[in-house]
Amino acid sequence: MGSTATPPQAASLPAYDADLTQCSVSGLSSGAFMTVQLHLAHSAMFAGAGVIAGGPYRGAESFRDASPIAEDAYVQNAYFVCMNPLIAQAGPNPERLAELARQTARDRLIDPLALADQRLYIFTGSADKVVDSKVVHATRRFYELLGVKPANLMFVDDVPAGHAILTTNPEDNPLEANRPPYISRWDRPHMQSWDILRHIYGPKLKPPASHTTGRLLRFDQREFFGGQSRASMSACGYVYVPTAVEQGARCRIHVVLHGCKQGANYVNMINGRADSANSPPYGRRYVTSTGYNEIADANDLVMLYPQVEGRDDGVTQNPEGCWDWWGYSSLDAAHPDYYSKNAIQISALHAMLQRLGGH
Amino acid sequence: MAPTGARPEDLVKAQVRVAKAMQFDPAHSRRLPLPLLPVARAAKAQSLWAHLAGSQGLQAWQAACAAPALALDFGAAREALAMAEAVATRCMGLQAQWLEGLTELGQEMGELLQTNTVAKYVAQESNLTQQVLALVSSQVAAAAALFENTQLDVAWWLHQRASARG
Repeated sequence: MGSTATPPQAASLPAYDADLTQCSVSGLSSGAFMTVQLHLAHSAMFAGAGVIAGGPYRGAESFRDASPIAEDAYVQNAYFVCMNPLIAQAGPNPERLAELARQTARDRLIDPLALADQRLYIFTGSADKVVDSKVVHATRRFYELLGVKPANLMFVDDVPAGHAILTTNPEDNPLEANRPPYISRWDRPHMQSWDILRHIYGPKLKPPASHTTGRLLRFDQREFFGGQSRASMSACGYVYVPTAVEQGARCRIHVVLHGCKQGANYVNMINGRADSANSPPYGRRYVTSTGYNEIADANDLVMLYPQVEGRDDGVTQNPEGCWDWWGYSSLDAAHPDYYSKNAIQISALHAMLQRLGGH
Repeated sequence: MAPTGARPEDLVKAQVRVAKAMQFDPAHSRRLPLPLLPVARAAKAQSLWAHLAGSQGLQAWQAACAAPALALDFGAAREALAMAEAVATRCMGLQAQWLEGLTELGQEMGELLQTNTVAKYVAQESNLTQQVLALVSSQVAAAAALFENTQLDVAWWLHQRASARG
């Protein structure tokens, strides 16, 4: 749990000379579900996306008849259809969801679906016990059905990893772990984030810098969601800016979306109460230790790290600080909008990209 | 280190806090005054049971409607068997977590930690009790989640099967 109640000492998000047709996004877990949503909502701005342990678009709406109460149905779908289905046939149905995405585009709630040239990196650890591999297989099928060319889709499911983004840091969890902070180490000589960006932007990316020289800036996120509680977004977000970009070089933007319990001001709950005596447990670890900044520095990529915080106040049920992929931020629970351009979180992310691009 | 010092005004401050908690606080509009708690908690529990009754009644009805049509569908039988196997695997996973938790607890009790004060002894023993409670709580919550997971997955699977048959 965290709070936007205390005004932060943070500057406004600055503007740079960014190509807003070549953005990209990646995320883990709830950040991966949001990656798919943001990617589809504004696909005209994106060159590709990286999905680590995430499910297909609008999966939480698979089985509306699960309950007479819409809110209950969507939460139950999120947990039991989109995270741990007993068998693939009880998981998200990619054919139905692809058709739902097409309908959403026809309704002009998201960009037209011209995804053939988009580049997708999709990963599931074979030891993942939080978001089952069956769900991530459905994500791959979903993108195939929407026309992404097979050559542009990199699907990885042969690493015996738990639920995590993978690094080379010795202090991170062992590979098979399924526990916070959901950052684990593998035995490869590179970060998983580099695989994602190399796949999206191609082999011409320069090798990551051994030491970063750019600046990690804290910025005030509240102007982008109007400070509204239902957004469940933190007061501050972060952006990494390479030196060359600060000096005026043309850049591209990559959005990095953390998963549940990974926000910078997330505080763990012990027996239902915020463990504020020991907060924050992980802080900016996802921002500074997952390798994104090193490859950004060498390639004039601006890394945007928007932040979500825990909120469980009787109106917004998001105690673990997850990105919204089941509707908790919607004004009308019976008609959720979390997946569309109108969603409060997606609107905020889009406004951040516009600002970074100088618009 | 836990704070063990005290100030003369501490008790008065605590009493003031209790008195404030008895009244409505405009700064926390969703927080009820203490005297209203029994009614509010009862209403919350009643609401949850109403939600559960709605969900489970509906899912059971859907299953009952769809099941007869699938009686001679061998593909459905195969998937149903796979689902039963998945439930059994999850049950074994719960059992494994229980055994691991108990073993870890037993090993910790066997380490016979040093103590030089009564306060530390009491804290150590209380910690073990709390760990037992935490283990039981997590098992109960995981079993309830498995029950809900199974019920919803079966209903969703049947719904799709029934839809496919028209």
